[in-house]
Parts: sequence; C-alpha cells; structure tokens
Amino acid sequence: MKKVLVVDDSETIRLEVSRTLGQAGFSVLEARDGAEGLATAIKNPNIALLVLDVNMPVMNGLEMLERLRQNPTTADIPVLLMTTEAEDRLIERAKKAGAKGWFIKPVKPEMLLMATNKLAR
Amino acid sequence: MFVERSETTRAIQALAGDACIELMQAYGVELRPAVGWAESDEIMFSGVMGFVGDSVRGTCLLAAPQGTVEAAAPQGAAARDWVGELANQLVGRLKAKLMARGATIALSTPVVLRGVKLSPLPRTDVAPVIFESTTGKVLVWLEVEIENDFQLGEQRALKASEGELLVF
Repeated sequence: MKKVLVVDDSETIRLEVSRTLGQAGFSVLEARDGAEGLATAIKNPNIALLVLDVNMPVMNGLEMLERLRQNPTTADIPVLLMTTEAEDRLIERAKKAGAKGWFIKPVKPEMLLMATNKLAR
Repeated sequence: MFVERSETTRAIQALAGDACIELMQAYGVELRPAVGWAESDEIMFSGVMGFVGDSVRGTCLLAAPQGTVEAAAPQGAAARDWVGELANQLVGRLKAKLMARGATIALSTPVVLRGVKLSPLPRTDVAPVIFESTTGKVLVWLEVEIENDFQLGEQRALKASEGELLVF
C-alpha cells in the first residue's frame, strides 16, 4: 500500500485528504506543521507522495520542502503543495526546490486523487 | 507612511467581499449582501488573519454562526478548525485579487475566537461587509492601512487561480 503524508495545520484539510486518499487505497500519515512533517518524513522515507500546505506555524511548507531536499533520506520524495497562495515568487521557489506540483485551494477530491495518482512514485 | 484611507479601504473591502462570496459558493453556501449587524447572544465563530506588504497591511476577520460555518464545511469538520481554514482561504483569495492590482502581501496563520455580541468598531466612512445566507449572517471585518502614495492598479491576469493545479 502506497503511503502519502499530508502536512497541514487544518485538521479538516487533513481529514479530507485522508478520507479521499484512504478510500482510494492509500495509507495516509498526518502532520500538523512543517517541523512535525519533516520528522515524519525522515522516519518514513518510503513515502510515495507528500501533500504539503505552505502557511503553517512552527515551520512553513516551503522551508520544510527545502530541508527535505537537503537530507539524502528524503531528497527524492515527490511533493505536491496544496495552499491558498498563488504568488509567483512562492511558486517559483517551490519549483526550484523540486516540487512536482502546486494546487490552489479549494481542491476537489477527484482532482486531488488524479494528482496523487499522477505524481506518487 | 501607512495611513487609513477610506477610498482605497472601501475598494479593498469590496475585493474581500467578492472573495467571500466566491469562497462560500465554492463550499456550497450562497451569500447575498445584507445590511446591519446586530449584536447577538448567539455564539459566533471567528477566524482572524493578519497580512503585511509594502503597500497594504491589516487584519481580516471572518465571522459566522456555527450553523453557517458547518454548512460550508466538509463532513466531520469541527467548526472551530474550519472557520480558521475559511479565513485562511478568504485572505488567500484577497491576496490574489490584490496581486492582480499591484499589491503583494504576506499572510499570517489564522487564529480562531468564539464569542457573543461580536461587533465591529462603528465607522461612518467604511462599513464592514455583511452577507446573509439561509443559515445566518456572515461578517467580513477588515482593518487596513495603506502606504500614502499607493493606488490599486488595473487588474492583470495571474498565472493560476483557485482550484487549479500547476504541474512542474
């Protein structure tokens, strides 16, 4: 079973992602901020896809993405950003850090599943 | 220097109002413009976001009764968590509308408050944005300071908008 890690400070967004991907046969791990997400990713380097919010407390999603890439254990995990942000500068920063995609909320469940099937390794 | 300017604040409030209508519609709640926000003993759920940029800075509060928050929420959501996420998405939409007109802002993370008798500071020049729905009223309360020389520009297209996926 492929593992997906969802990192978002909204419990509801984590619930929605878990429900959508869980029903499609993915095993879903959850984290509430970038620091917790980074620790979870290091413990689970076989993650097939990381679904990552940008604006979060403690550590934001872009910082988490850049730290993932610096760690050989987690450097290759595919990352999909899922955020309210549409700022070009932030999108370019994610692209430069090797993100695979950028979703602007709200995200319909069928779109999330389509993107997960396309981007998960 | 940042100052309160009624005309530009009214324009930004209108953008926030449009953003709120679009956001709630995306979650299945139709809003109609309303007038008057009466203090009530009903518990209101509020999400508050700060934002700051070179030209514009301020605070945005989104408030609604529990029934309205739940009407817009995915199944199983807690109203307290969801109103924070709604405020986050509202200000994300406002940010996109401001960027399209030449102002870039950075966003804080949302905080949530519950309370009764919630009432914006009375102002005669810039009224808060109030909507009604079948489940209750929705308040968008914006306090904005604007750089003295800044004017909102003509709208330009952005690379992506809400609901879109960019694949790299």
